[in-house]
Amino acid sequence: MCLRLWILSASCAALALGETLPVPLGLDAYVPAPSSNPITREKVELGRALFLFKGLSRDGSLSCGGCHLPERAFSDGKPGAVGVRGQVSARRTPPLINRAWGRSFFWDGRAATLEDQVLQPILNPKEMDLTLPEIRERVRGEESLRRRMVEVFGREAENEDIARALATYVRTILSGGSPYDRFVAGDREALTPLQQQGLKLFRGKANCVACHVGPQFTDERFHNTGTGWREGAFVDAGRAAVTSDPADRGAFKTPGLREVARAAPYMHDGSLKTLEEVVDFYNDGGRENPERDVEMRELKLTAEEKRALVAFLESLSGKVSDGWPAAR
Amino acid sequence: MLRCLLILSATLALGAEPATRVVWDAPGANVLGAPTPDGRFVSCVDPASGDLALLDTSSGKVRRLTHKGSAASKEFAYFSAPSRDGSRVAVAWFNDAGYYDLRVVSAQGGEARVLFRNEESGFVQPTAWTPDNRQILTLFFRKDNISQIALVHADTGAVKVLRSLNWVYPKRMEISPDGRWIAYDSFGGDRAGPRDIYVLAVDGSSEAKVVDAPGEDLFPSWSPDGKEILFASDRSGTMGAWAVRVENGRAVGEARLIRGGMQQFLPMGVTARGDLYYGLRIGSNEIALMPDGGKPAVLPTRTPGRNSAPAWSQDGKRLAYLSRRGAENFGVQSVVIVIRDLESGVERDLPQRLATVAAVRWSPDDEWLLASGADGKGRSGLFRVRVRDGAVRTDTVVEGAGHGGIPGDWQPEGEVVTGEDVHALAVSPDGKATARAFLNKVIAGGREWAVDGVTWLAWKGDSLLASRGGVALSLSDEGVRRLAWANYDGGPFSVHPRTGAVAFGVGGTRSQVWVMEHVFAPLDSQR
Repeated sequence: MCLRLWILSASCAALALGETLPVPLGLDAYVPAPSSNPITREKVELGRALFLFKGLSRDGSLSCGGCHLPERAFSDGKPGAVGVRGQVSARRTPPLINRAWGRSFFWDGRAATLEDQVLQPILNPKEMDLTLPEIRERVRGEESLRRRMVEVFGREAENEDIARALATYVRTILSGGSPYDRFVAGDREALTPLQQQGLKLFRGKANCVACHVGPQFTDERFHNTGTGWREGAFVDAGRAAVTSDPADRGAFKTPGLREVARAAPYMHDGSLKTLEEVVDFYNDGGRENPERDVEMRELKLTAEEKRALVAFLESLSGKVSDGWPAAR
Repeated sequence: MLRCLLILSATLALGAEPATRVVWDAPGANVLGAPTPDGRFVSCVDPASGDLALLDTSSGKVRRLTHKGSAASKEFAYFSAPSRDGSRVAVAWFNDAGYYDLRVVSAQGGEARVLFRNEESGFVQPTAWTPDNRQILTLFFRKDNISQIALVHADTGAVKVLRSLNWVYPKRMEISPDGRWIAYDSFGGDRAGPRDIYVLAVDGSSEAKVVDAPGEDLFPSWSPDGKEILFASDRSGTMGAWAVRVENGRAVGEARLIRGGMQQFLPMGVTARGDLYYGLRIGSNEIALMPDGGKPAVLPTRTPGRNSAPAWSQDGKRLAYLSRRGAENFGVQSVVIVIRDLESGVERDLPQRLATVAAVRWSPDDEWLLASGADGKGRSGLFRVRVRDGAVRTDTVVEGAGHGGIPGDWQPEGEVVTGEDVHALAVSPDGKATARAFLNKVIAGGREWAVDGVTWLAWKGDSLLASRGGVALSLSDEGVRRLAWANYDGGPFSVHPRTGAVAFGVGGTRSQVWVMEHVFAPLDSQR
């Protein structure tokens, strides 16, 4: 399985103290997790097994890992997520990079925690299409999973524990050690001159930091850039579907940018195929609509500046890891 | 000349509260350091030279540890922390390249060794050493406005980042005596608000909020036995010293009051025998209005004592000014913009949406304020703040501009003139001339004045008023003239568009270092 082939970061600037999760350069040693669901090696391994378990889809054709592919920043490269029976969603599969630091989940933020989030695609009829009782029984019916659930949680598989294990695994999918991280850590040669120009634009003229801010390059908030607006109407309510606030129409959560060069296509609907198209979209001020974010405006970037921005975005690709390297 | 003080016998024993006494009350006294564990010294900045120094808490004498040499050098020491064995001092040093690096100096003085120097993390603040004296707990503040709690190896300079926060950096953080925990204050999220106390595991395995109460809770310090965290809190209505018991990184029971009525109080550290050294800020800042040709009168405000940088509206009916909020008065993030209706005297605060604000100017239509400062997303420069509701629009972002933003002013038609490369800027009321202050001159409308260090400009008729080194100047065809603005604070000021009256800040504050003795009573006596 591709996950097994994704050889990860035993050599990255990992900091492992006892059972503390190793993290690559650029990330905090403290990886947030609820006190009710601490990260343990055994739970991560169980979560990984569940992540790859195709029995969690109606027809046994699809696991979580079937759409969240490591080589694509745990996304799938498709403009719309493809579920069982070939059903295609209106939104793309989001990358799962460094979500331990996330404050809400899904493009519209309808889940507050990873524990709330992880079962929803399994329950979604357009994705994996199971019911809650079926999830529990499918796991109990797979002997190795059943046994490991008992070992980790001290009882037969319950959906609550399945969610905990999956959330714990997702929490350990990390990316760091990128050229950008090395540059910020003091290696002034880690970014090319063009990438350094892009970084300056990113923080300045291009105004990317209006939303893509912090270690994960996201403010974890919701913004309307115009991607949900087509031919005079909102084709996706976005955040408004959660809040019922008209001002949130067409607003989607700012995605983090780590590994962004591997995570095409872009935007919530995968409507932009390349980073060049994304930069052009923002250079034009996004798409005008009644709720467009006040930060969106024409940027007037030159062709060279656009190239610099793309070069900088490419510098955000580093080493992706999941869990403890020694475990594999 | 430095006038170091002898210990004053102003000991105040109020009931069962611990006694306090002042240990440093001299011009330039500062609260940028911490006590040595034996309480004999407090690290500080030598007011005369800007060097790192140690204050002898018995004699009140200050002994320099560094000698930066040339008087023309712009380098200086800033925050510092002595090691647990008292042999070394870690210091943030403003270097020759114009940012802060982390250095270590012997407590006997001598050459400072650079441990960490990285322009991307251009502000560093050492706060404590691990019990084995091998690592220094340090706050990094990066160019992208991320603050980080990190451990820096005291020999190799190797860095381990434990926790990233946004622009809301901790006011204070400290390692527990057993080296397992870090206590720090923060207000979570990226908008200002009351702070709480958190405890983070040094190995990164956990974090918990140990103090979560209405009001400000900040400046945590560990008790010598590691069983309590002392902190400053205004939960009782005034700032006081409180403590909460902590076990295994989590709070146990309710916080207890150690001493109340502490005013503007900044804990600096606890010694091995449980004496708390702390700073007090004394003095006040007010707004004064001075009619043209008249005498200044202090404006009675809703929150006296902490106001500055006034700006008249274009119609002259309102005054905007900056006011510090929160019970403590150290640091830059607690500033809000106040709008005062001059006829009714009614004041209201605009919602605090910017990280820092240095000055404001009204738009020609009085609907917006142009604010120089920084927001919570790492952007520094100029922002438009809507007077009606405090909504913020980014105007000009300049990488590396710093918390104070950049100079800027409005053109009569509503466009903004920015001054990325100047120290001050002001557009004349008719928009025909823009005055700019460079390093050693001011230029406006074909005229030039040889005056250096100007930090603020405003037009008054055909002439200019300027701020330079805490003094107000008039720049006119007659040359440069010093103005006698009584008690002027040296900050931004404003000229009334019709009457020529001037609004400016008056007063000032200074710091003292105090000690509160034997702060921690035995826990089993606390009932």
